[in-house]
Amino acid sequence: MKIDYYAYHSGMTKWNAGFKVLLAVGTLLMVIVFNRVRISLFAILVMSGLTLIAGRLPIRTYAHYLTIPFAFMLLSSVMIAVDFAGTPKGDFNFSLWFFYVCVTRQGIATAAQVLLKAFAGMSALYMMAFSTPMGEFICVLQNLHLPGLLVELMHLIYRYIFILLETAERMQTAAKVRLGYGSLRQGFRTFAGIAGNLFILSMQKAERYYDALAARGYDGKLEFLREQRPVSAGQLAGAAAYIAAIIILGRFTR
Amino acid sequence: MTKLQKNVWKASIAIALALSVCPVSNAMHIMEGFLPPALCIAWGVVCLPFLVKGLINLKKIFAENRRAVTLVAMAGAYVFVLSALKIPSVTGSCSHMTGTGFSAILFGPSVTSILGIIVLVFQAILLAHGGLTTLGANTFSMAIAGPLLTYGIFGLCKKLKVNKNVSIFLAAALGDLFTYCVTSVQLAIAYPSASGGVAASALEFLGVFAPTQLPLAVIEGILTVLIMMAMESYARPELKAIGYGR
Amino acid sequence: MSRIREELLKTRDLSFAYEDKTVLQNINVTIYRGERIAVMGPNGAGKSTFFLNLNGVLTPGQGEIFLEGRKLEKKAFHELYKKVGFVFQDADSQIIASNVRAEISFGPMNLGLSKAEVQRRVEAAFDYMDLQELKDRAPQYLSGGEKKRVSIADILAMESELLIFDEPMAALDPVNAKLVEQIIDRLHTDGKTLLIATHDVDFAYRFADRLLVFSEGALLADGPPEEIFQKQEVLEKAHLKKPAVMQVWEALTGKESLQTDFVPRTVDQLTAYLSQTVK
Repeated sequence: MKIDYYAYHSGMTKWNAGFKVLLAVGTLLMVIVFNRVRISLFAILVMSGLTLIAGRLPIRTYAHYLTIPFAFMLLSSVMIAVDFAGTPKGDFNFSLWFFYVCVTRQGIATAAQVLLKAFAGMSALYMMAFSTPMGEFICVLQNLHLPGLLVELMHLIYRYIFILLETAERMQTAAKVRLGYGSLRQGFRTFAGIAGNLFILSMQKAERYYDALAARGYDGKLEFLREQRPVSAGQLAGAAAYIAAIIILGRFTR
Repeated sequence: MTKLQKNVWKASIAIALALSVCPVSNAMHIMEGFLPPALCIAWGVVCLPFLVKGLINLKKIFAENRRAVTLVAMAGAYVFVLSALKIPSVTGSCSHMTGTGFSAILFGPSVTSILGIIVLVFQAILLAHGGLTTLGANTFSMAIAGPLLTYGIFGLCKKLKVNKNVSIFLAAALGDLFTYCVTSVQLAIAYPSASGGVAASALEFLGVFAPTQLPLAVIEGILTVLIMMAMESYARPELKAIGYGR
Repeated sequence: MSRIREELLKTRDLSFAYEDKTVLQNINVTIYRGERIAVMGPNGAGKSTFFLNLNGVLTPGQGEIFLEGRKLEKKAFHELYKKVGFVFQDADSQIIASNVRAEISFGPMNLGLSKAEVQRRVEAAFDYMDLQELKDRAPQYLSGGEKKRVSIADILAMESELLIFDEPMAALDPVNAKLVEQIIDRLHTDGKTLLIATHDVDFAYRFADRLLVFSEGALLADGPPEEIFQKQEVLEKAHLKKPAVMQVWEALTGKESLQTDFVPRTVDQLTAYLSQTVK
């Protein structure tokens, strides 16, 4: 949950949330629509630059988070590159009993392209995630006129997640002190005990939390004061230049 | 070493490497940027009717009892936290439960679809599992298809009077397996194999993720049973209150 | 006390049952403007339920509620939150927004005020509770004491006349407990009417000018603290003990507190008196 912490302490926290979301989602869309290596590279460059320089995220932290999706990406990319066939029809073929593992140059190129696209996607998502507190993100969704019920649940769930996490952490520490994770079998039992207890606790808390909402006049509508943060002319100009660059890279170069 | 041995050896290194990276999310979220735009939209559209149904049901629940708002929100937060807790394991690699199976058994598939999509958005943003463009595909596999199967199996077992713990295990484990199958098919549709098309590609994806996903499905099943047992020993009346009293 | 006692809130024969269990039975209490009332009694005696009834969250099964002398219609009960603010014991169960500013604005927003007025009240609450530096922070990264201050600011921003605190010092470290006590004193000086549930007899003795003691859903005693702390049967039934200052004073004077002209309520008053006599 460290990403959440960084979102409140980023150099870009005070930027307009809608602007950041639009920039990230716009980048995501352009990257997957154009599907070209140079655009992916350009997006990685700009998005990472924003996160590291404007957002002042330590580079080691950023690198650590970029490796999270690594396992999935690696396995999936390998599968995209590799093909199984009865005859050796790839550019490189490995015989396995009665079939061949074939790798074509085309396959490798596709895999690399997908990998880069995924990294570009992650860099755009991270630009937003590492700089936008969740509450503001939810407000952006609210402005997009998502169903009120959904938005309200998101607000509450986000808040409750931290309460439950804190409780779970305390329970886990207590279990560790009592050596509750000794063997795998014991570990499973302890895990389930914590999870079961946490569930009961969360249901009990829900009752009291409703009282607290009602005590302040909650009447089926969750509304908060929001700080207006205008987008600066510089930010707008930068975004326009960035989008123009991507379109030029995508359409007018070969 | 023969060529075959060499390749098997290489493959095992690759898998070991992949597994050593933490966390290997159980849920098999499709990562940001992995799907072409047409499929991003298509999977989102497929999810829509289920989500609309879920919202309508929730509205009905809240109209009857407004106090249910915090209860449902708590349930959503719980699913997120359950999927964020590290499962103890001997190998040191970290894996997680999906939690949606648990939710499907307790709250039914339509509420689970809404909680599921919210949890997936939070996982993408707070934990970097999954992504926004792949939200539709992930919602379908993890918040709709898996929970539906879980719910179906749990209901079927109840009709057939199967032992309750066995039915919980089967429902949770098979729901988890189904999620992983759907994800593999989703990837295969996006990246069909040159020689064998979607079917062959799906087999490839199933194969490569099997070493992690098969044991995890079993673990999900076992843990869901254990959690239910632990819960019952803590509080039966609370479980009755949320409609779980069989 | 030459001030005219203005009636703020009154209950008549208020009863409340949860499912088929009676939690409150025939509660008759009149709260006057500017009073400092400590509410005592063991857990489960009905204090929290009483508060939730006063605040409009729960609707009493029987009984009447009067606001400023006027009898309220039953359907107007839920609007009591506009006049009566309730600070919950556990700040975490009260805080719902994802940053401090939004959190404090929640109550005022529900009052249907204009944006500008909400803004003004939020700013005023920041200032009053010294929260200016925390206004963009998320609750999950605040300390226990900071969360408590936010939860008080939540209610201050609603500008209610009657403020209810449910065990405001529970689970706080001594520094923060003292801070909260100072805030409570300041609220009294600023004219708020205060109703505070507490298990701390010493705090109740130095803070309150009136004591309400609950036991098993009924109002066991209602009166000035120096009187009620003398009633052995009340203390026993409500699991209370005499405040330390009172015990020392009685041991020194050999008399019950009521029989002396001067009665110290706080440690400071007691030591001041002692140092004077010793000299």
